[in-house]
Amino acid sequence: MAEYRCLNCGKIIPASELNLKAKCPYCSHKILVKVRPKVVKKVIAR
Amino acid sequence: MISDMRKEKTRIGDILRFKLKGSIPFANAIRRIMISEVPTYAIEYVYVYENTSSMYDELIAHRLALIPIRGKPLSENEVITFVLDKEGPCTVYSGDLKSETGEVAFKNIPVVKLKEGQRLKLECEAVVGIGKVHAKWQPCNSAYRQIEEEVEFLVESHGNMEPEEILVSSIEILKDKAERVLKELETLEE
Amino acid sequence: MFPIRCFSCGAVISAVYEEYRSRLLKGENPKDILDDLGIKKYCCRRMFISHRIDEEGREIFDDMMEHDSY
Repeated sequence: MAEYRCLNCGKIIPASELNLKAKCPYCSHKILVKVRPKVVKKVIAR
Repeated sequence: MISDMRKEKTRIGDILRFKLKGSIPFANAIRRIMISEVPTYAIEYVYVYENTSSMYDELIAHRLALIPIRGKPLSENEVITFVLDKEGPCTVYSGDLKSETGEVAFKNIPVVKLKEGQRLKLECEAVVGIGKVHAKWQPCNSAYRQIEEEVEFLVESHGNMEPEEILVSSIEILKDKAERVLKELETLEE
Repeated sequence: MFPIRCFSCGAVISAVYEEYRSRLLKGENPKDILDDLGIKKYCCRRMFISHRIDEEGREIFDDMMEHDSY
């Protein structure tokens, strides 16, 4: 489940609340950033 | 064969100078093995649990990999696990890498800066490797010059192990290689 | 952030960076500091000299942190 963060108000919005529109439901800001998923990432250090 | 050994300690590793009675090709073989075939530890896998710092995971992993780790490996499959958990505002140093089985050679290497609210939490695995694969496993720099009948050597270690240890293991590797060639030649004759 | 190893020879120069930085901010001559710290090769010395620090000790990474939106 993808989550987005509003760059204006900083609230975290799940994709289901967005209804396929890039608009924050709290402040109507149009720039949303995808939140980093809470998984352990394996990186090869080279 | 080896004479006039002089050791000098610096802030970034030890410097060993010695004189060798032998041919230039032999000296070059030792030099090349010291640089690229002596096994050492280096961080290879990084498991990032949380990273809200201003630096990418890959860049942090690369910086961690370049930190020299103390110790002479006994086998190829040894692993040292390090844990790091820091919260800003602070600077993350190499000394913050905690482990029960190993230690970093230098404790004051700055890795990344964190501001208020940023957090870095990760786990690293240091594995055994050689300098031929990646320079992070390179234990020393080495150079030589010919002075009349002798060869003067200079070995600068990077903190992984003492320069004497690097020299001894490089000679062992060269001996193994020579024996293998001899064995192969004997099977050809038969 | 300051590079951990010298780009050319691979010496672990960042082990003495914190001392270099604090002494540079006190107004010492970079040549004297590097001679004192035992950084002899010119490949390693250029790593220190070409790393930009302003009068307050800020580097490029501090500006990057300020512009981060988190």
